[in-house]
Amino acid sequence: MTDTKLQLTDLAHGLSRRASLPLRYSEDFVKSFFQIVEEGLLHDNMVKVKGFGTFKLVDVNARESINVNSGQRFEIAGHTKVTFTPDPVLRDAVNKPFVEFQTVILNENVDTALMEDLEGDHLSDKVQAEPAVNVAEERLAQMAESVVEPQTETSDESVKEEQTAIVGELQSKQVEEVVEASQPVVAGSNEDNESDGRSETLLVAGETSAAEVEETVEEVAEEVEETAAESEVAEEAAEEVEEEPSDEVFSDEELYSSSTEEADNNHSPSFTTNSYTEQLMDHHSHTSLWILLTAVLFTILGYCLGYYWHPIDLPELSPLTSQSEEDTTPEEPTEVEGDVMDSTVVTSSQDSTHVATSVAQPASAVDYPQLDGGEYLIVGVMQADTMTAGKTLLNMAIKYYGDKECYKYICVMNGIDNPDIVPLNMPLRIPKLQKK
Amino acid sequence: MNNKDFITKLAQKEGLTMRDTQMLVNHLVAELTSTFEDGNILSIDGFGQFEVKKRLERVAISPSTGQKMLVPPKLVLGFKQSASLKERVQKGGNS
Repeated sequence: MTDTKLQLTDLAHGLSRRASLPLRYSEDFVKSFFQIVEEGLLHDNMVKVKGFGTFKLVDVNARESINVNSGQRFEIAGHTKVTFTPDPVLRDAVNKPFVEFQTVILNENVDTALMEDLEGDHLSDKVQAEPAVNVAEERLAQMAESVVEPQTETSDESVKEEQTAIVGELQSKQVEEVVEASQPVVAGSNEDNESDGRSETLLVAGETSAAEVEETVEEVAEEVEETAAESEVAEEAAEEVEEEPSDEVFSDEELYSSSTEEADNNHSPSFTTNSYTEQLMDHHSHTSLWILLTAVLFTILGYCLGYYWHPIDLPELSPLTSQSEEDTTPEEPTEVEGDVMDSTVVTSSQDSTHVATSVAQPASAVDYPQLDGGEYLIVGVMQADTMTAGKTLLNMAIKYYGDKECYKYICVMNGIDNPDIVPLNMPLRIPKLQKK
Repeated sequence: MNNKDFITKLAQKEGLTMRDTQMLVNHLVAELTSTFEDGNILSIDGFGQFEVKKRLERVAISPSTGQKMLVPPKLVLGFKQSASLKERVQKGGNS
């Protein structure tokens, strides 16, 4: 490239040589050429010269700009400008030196990686949901094989919801066992109160001795008695329910045996119930965890019992519970009280064994750093990952948990203080989370 | 104004036949092309300046497919109107 700046005369020289014209004439012709172009622009805003290109008049809208030196804003007024688009022939001729360059489609792997991330989301969702199902299935299989079917039939997502629903059922079951409330209406209110009371007693149970637990349970039982006594239906259904206590006791015993079996099957047969309760009391800070686990346990127990008693009504939880409450209502005012209370005490002590045995894996939460105030507990390592270019903690969290907020758990798990600064190729442990 | 109109007008102005005019225009265009092929800057007083510029390679994303593409460097012929032409065009546009 010479980059010489040529003038019109130079062009005229070239033309005169090519066309063998007198220089003066060719100069005149070149001038006329551009004059006609200008005229044509003014005439209909566009001139096309074959082999050269197209001149156009384009309106430019007014826009605001900033003076680079003074920093003041000023407006560039709208105007028309002449644009020139070279004819393809001329364009290619000009670009001849670079003609061998082709447009290359880049970074296909990036596109596919993004796709994989999207697919990974679904996969991780499934993986995440499976463990919960497995745990539930194992326990249910130990208790009753028949219950597994409805549990597995439900979709992964609905399992959690179902469990929470079962918690409601469980609480109403507790109401049955301990209280035996009266009418459905009353039962509705009682359910809440007594579930609260139940959790309170459980709280106390973690912090006090076994004897105190018994006392508190008795207190609760007494309170419940009063409510039951107020109910009119209690006496009416008294006869119907006399059969129930035996079933209940039986089922409790059954559960107790199964729980002891679990304890035997587990790695720590030397641990007795008392040792677990002592452990419980030692870990005041984890009391809430134990309560949670107990609640989960009762959920499944209640589910099994409910299935045994009312296999057909099972899907309809609320009618079932109210009905069963009606059936069992009068139990307490009668002589069954003592048995019931004993059984509840037994179950409460069983709870601790259940909690300690069946929930051995979540107990490992102690081994991992926890997020203060978080919604989940870190109970293990779900997967190992590496921080490579293009990854962020946020999209990892979305990939593994479906929630970007969960990046905090990854931070806590890997001791990352500033989530914005993560070293490249840093190995990351993706924590396995469990809802508190 | 297409090429035919342009040639007609130019022929009228120069007093030539359209055929001769077209031939001359072709010669002129050939001369212009060779000028730009050499990378020269052509400045026409009272009209504007043609200049060949190099566009650097860049990464573009196809809006339709979303694919990233490496666009190669290229030489393009640009035109910048002169101030006087701008004014005249402005007046013409307004009138």
